[in-house]
Amino acid sequence: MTDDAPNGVENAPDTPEGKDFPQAEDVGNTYRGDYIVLMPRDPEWLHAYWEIPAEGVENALAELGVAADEAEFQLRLHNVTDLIESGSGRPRLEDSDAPVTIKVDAAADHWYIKAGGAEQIYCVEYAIAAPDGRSVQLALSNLATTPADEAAEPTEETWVTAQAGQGEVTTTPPSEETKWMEGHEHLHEALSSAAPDETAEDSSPSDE
Amino acid sequence: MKLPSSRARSTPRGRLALILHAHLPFVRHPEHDVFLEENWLFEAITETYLPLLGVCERLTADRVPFRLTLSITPPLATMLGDGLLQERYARRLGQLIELARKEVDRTLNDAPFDRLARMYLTRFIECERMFNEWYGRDLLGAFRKFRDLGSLELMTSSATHAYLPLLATNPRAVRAQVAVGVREHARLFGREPAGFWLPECGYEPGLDSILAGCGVRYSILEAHGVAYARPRPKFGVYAPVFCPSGLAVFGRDIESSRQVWSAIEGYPGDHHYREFYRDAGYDLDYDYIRPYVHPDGDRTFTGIKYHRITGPDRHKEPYDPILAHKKADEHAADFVSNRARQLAHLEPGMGRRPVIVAPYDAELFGHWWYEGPDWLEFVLRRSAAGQDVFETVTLSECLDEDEVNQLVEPCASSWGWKGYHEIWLEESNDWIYPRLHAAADRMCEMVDGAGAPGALERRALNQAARELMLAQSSDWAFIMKTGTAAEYAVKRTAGHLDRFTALCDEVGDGRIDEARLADLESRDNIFPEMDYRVYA
Repeated sequence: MTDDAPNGVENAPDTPEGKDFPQAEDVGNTYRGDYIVLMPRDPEWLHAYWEIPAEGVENALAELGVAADEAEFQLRLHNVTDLIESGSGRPRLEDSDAPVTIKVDAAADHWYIKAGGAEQIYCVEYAIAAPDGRSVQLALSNLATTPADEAAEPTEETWVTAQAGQGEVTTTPPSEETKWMEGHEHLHEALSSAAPDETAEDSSPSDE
Repeated sequence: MKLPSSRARSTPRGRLALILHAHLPFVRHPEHDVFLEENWLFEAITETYLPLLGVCERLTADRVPFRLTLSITPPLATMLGDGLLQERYARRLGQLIELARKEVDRTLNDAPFDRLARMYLTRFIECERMFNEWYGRDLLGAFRKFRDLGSLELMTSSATHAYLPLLATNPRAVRAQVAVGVREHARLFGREPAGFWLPECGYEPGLDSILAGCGVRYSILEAHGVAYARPRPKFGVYAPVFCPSGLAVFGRDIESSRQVWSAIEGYPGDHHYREFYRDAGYDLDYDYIRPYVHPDGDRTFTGIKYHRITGPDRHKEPYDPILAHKKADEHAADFVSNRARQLAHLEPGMGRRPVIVAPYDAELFGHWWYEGPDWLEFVLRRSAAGQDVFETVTLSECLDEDEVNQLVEPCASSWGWKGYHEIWLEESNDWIYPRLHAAADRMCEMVDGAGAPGALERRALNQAARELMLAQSSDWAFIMKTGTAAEYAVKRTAGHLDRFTALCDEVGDGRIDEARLADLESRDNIFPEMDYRVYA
């Protein structure tokens, strides 16, 4: 309903109490301390936002012994799909051998990150690095999983009789490619046509 | 245990579930005598909700068996039941009747516009009679009536139509949106909702557990949300599946959707149908139309439109309602015929009765596509009497029949552009998420630390929860993306967050401004039974 709605806001009356309708910039930031949040957007893109108080940056620079203009502010994207501890569910970052490093502007507070593909689990670090390669991690994100972008291969099927997962369960081998699937390739063709745009850059600041 | 098997041949071979999703953001501004964005509701009542009720009335009177599912979101239901907005709608309708009378005089002997002016006058008067006399302004009661007759199934949605996948950093905030959506439906409609409409079909693994935990039986996903599930669903989108939590999920059928939605192939683009953007509010002499547009003098839509789509050029021919009506019937026949062919093709290979799930935005019907309610009525009449391949069903009826279903984990998805979350997470609107997430976290912290609050503190916490939920409405991010009324969307998001923060600060400081609180309770009066402990 609201798509292309004809009710342009330019026609809306001004509210008498400006404080009731502040603009975006009037709403303060979150003040939650050092943190970075990672959100999956689609099978190929992630979005990260962060907040690092100035004191944290200053401490990191002091620890590295470099000035701000000498340091590199980085996002380090880890694919931890195969590094999740079975018990805790936490990633074994120490075994992550090749994070993708993205240089970001010191003033940036969010970034769109090109992921490596669908159905992968990622986390991202925000770090400051010295020219000699030493670095300090300032924040580590949550885990984010990119969604699937294609149908799975037929596998074992499980059928249940009731909701709540409490019903009797029957497991059957993969179905033969059923008659139903024949002639319905269009379903997957149609879905493929809705795939994300491949022409996008590898990573991008969102509003710079 | 038996796997799904074929049914007796005496029953139709397939099933069609038509779903209409009715939603508008909560727009209610008692501080202004007239507020432009309240017209969204008024236009939808005149052009969509009353015409849809008219369809149900006629089908029922003619004893046509039909099944239709309607999701009515809590914000829309609240507005439909709100006395102030009902009064303002009646006032707006009175204005339009007055304008239509003038139009009948103005177009006298100016064929074919005279006939159209009389058509609008008749329709507006009919709306007034339905709204005031038939239903006593109680449209929720009108929808309840058809639910109780068994022909209409009602679903709910999240409390303020929040796009849940992008709030998933705080599962408690997601659960609160779901729980309040379910409770509000029960309060407003006197019965638990049959199912839950995920706003924008937005799904993320894990949501199923929250929905199931709130007692939801089923929901609907975009086609690839089901087709890309793990493991692969044997029947694709043509049978329900069960999630690990027990939630049943249906997938949207692409073919039936494309025939109605597609700007190129879809029925609503037919050149005989009414042109939306040519409106008397913009076309007619300014001094003449001024009493019927915004009091500030800005032109607005009136709903009186004299032209048909005609073609891609600016030139538009006069609208011919008789021809358009005939087209709607032709398109309905085409739709029914295609569904019959589709289901007849599917059924032999499935060994069970396939179901086609066809959800649409309700406001497409009548508001954007003027002939949409006519088309729907023709579809339901032709489905009931013009073929024997399928029957229309509700999704609850599907689940009653399909007791055995495949267990899968659906895929993150939405019905938005590109099929995932991009519409609600891109450059125009990404600034809201740090703030929404932080506010949700703060709400939870406030609740955890509330102890045994006094009455005033409880009121403040409840209002803080309302303000947070209003800020979370997916409409604001969507409007920011589309750019139409974006400033209003920004103001709403920022305004509710500002009110939320102020309330939390006041509770934290132990200095609640009761007069200010009462003012907020009066303005943002959604969820009268809000209990902040829903965030516990």
